[in-house]
Amino acid sequence: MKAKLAIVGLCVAALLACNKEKRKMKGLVGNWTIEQSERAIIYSDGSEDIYDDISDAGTVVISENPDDESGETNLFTFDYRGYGNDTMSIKGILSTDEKKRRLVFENALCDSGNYCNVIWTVDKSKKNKQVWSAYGVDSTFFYPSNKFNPGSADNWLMWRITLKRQR
Amino acid sequence: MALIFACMKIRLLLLCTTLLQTAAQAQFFELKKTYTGSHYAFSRYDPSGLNRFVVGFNETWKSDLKEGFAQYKGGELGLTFTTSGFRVIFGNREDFKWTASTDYAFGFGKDKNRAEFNNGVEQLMEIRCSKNQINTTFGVALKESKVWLEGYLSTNLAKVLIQYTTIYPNGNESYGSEYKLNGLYRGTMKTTEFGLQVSYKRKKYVFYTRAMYPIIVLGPNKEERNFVDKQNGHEDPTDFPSNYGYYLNNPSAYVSENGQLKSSDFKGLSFGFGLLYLFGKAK
Repeated sequence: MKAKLAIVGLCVAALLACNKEKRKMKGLVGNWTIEQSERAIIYSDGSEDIYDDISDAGTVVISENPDDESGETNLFTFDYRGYGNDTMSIKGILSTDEKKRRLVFENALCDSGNYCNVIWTVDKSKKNKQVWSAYGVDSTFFYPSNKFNPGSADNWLMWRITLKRQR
Repeated sequence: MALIFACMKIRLLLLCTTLLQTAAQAQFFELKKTYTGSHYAFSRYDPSGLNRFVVGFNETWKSDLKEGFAQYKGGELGLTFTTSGFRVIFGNREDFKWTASTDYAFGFGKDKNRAEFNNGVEQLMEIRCSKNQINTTFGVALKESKVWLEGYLSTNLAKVLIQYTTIYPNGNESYGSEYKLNGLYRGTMKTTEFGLQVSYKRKKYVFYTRAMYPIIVLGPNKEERNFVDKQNGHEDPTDFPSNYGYYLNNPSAYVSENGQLKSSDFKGLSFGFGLLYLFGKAK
């Protein structure tokens, strides 16, 4: 009897392991406040010069994608409100990779095609708090023209947002 | 990929059913036990594709590099496996019996490689390899069924991820699109492997060593044996390069010129040793 239970237990564990990717994506669904938005210059000596620091900088809404039966993508609405005319209001499909280190706003910068995805690196991922960052070089975020040689720059741009789940 | 996992799930369910049915019978079997354990496997692969990238990258940026990527030797991806399965020993002769087993094993191994530029930026290339195996053995049990000599057949689904990131001087790691090579590149290889296994049983513990070699490549198709990052955001193709010169000088055509890294490089001889625990009363 013990042997049978052991076999069943091991097989269930193996089957659940196959579905791990789908389950974890659901943790992002909900309404989030952009609690803090920081933009900084990173210098070669490792120091950061924060040139833009905003509290309560907008909202991010993430919901399940009814058109995706696999459950591998979600829908997002990203409303960023910076100083003056510095706003970013986009919505579309949110995807991630199997290591959950990267979040992709698909085709967020244009309708379709290349150089359109907004890619965030996930620095922290908790149930009620997320920290995402994006980078750039030569004064350009996401898709700078210098895209091959990281050794040629002497400073870089960083945009870090902290999200807090709304109650 | 989803299809491969679906097939593996079906095979797991069939395996469960078979094991439960077998467990329900017990006549001329001397031993009939489930087991669990782990082993370490030294795994060889062909490093030439990766080294072509490493040499090309280091050569291209040599004036900006403080330290380039190290070349690979082909033995970096040793894997630690956990395994569970079922074994029977049967036969009527006292000095010679037959033995067979079937099990599921999952193994994982990784390797990190770094390049550092003079301006403090680093490139981190982490290769992560995981293997899902369904194994079947058949052979003889000798020395009062304490020594088992067996042939070994394995269906092996290997997944290799190349995690390529930029680490800035402040320590932040980026998967972002600001540098084209940043990303998570995925390649798979499904093989049938054949090998030999020698085991020694002492009470409820089994010490074993095994060696195996891929004899058949089951998939994917030849043109899909690449490492691709579909979320990269840059222009196609987004395959991880092997020929870095082609990749830089002709980013739209390096794949058609066979300049991409192949997942078929990541198969080869593996050998290892491990320990199993047999459930139930010792015999």
